[in-house]
Amino acid sequence: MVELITPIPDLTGRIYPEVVSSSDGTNRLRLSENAEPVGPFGTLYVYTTVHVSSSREIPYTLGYVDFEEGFRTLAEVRFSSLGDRACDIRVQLKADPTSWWVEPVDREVSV
Amino acid sequence: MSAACLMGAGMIPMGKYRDSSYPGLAVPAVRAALASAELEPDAIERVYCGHAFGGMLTAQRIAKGVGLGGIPMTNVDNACSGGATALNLAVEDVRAGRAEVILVMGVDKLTQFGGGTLPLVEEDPEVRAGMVMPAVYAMRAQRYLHERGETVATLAEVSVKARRHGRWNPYAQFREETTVEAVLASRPIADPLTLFQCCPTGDGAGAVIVASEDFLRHHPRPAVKISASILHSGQATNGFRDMLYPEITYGSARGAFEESGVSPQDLDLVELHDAFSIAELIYYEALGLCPRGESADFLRAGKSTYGGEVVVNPSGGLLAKGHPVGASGVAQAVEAFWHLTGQAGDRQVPGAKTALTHVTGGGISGMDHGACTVHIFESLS
Repeated sequence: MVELITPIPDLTGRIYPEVVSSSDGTNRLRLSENAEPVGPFGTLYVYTTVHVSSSREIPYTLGYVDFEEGFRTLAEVRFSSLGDRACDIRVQLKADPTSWWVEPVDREVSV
Repeated sequence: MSAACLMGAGMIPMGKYRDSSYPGLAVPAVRAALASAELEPDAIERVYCGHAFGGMLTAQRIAKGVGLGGIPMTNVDNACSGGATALNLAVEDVRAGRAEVILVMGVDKLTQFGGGTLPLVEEDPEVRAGMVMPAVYAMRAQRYLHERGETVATLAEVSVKARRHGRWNPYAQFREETTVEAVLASRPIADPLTLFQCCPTGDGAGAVIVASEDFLRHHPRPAVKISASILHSGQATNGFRDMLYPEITYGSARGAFEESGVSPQDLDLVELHDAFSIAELIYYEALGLCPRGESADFLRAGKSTYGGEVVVNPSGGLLAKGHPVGASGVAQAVEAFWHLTGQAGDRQVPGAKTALTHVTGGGISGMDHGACTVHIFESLS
């Protein structure tokens, strides 16, 4: 089956993924205009910390997150300690008014 | 259908030519290719030029420097596969009888960007999120270490081999040997990749003359048959992708072996897309040089160097020879031509009869890579 990949930005200039925050504090990601939001939980397939960039402050960490709904997206990853850093760990989506990222689910209880 | 052959090849040593123009880089390579084929420019019927960053009319700007004009000239961008895609178009023309003698060039000048990572297309959502080419390969490397239980020393061994080969290649940007310790101590780029595990910023140009077998019959000289010329594009997905299974390379390689009737075990040398250390390990498997899961052992046992099963990247590869993106596919064909006609000097693969070249261009979200080209060459003598 051929998947339909939404052009981003589309003719209106809208950018995805976008964060959809609900009143209970849960964040989900909308990947295109008509798509059901995904998240907040997923698996961190892989990550890397980047030390070279001409456009943003370094270092920064990126990773691919596989959401339970079957979608993969590139995300900023925020680990709390070196011990957090691993492939195949469970992560959740977090957001503030200017950005979104994923972090390990057990972060609060692990420290 | 007439078979397509390489009857001449030339390139300039890769390096940093900050004050040069694109024609300044490529005209010497074109002259060398024509001299190698013992042809005058007026024998050329068509021109294809692969480049990613040359700007408009790069082929024409170069070709006028050797007095060529009035014939079809086409500029080809396919990122790192641009030069090899130009070659593919020439092969298809010759096979279809549209032309008998075609000049193929590949050229790029990366020093124009002043260093740093390759500029990607900023409208791509992953690029906007901070993706750079080292990060793509770094994630493959991270996953490789995770799944295979290997250490960073295995990755570093790829760079050590590349620079050992580059030492014997006067066309290579890096000609000094290195060690695992030095590779790992070089500065971090994208974890776990360090500087010496990344291809350098550099400039370069290569050129080959593609001719029909019929033409060669009337102009006999050392030549190489192009037994396979395969171009694939990537298929996007929204979902899971196995980063250790680059399906675009698996597919291109399968196509090339089918078209040529050659098997991976027949290959004497391979020039593959080692833009970063991890790439070489993954592509050993994708090109069928070793079974899936055995690339680290294949490297460690010396099977991919002189005296082993197949010499992978005798030129030093992209890691040591350099990787001016649009030039690389043509430079690989030049290297194959030299080995298969016994002109590779100190780095000659003894008795080489069959070679494979592979370049693949990335940088698009949702895809393994955007373009991939695989060529197989066989000695005619």
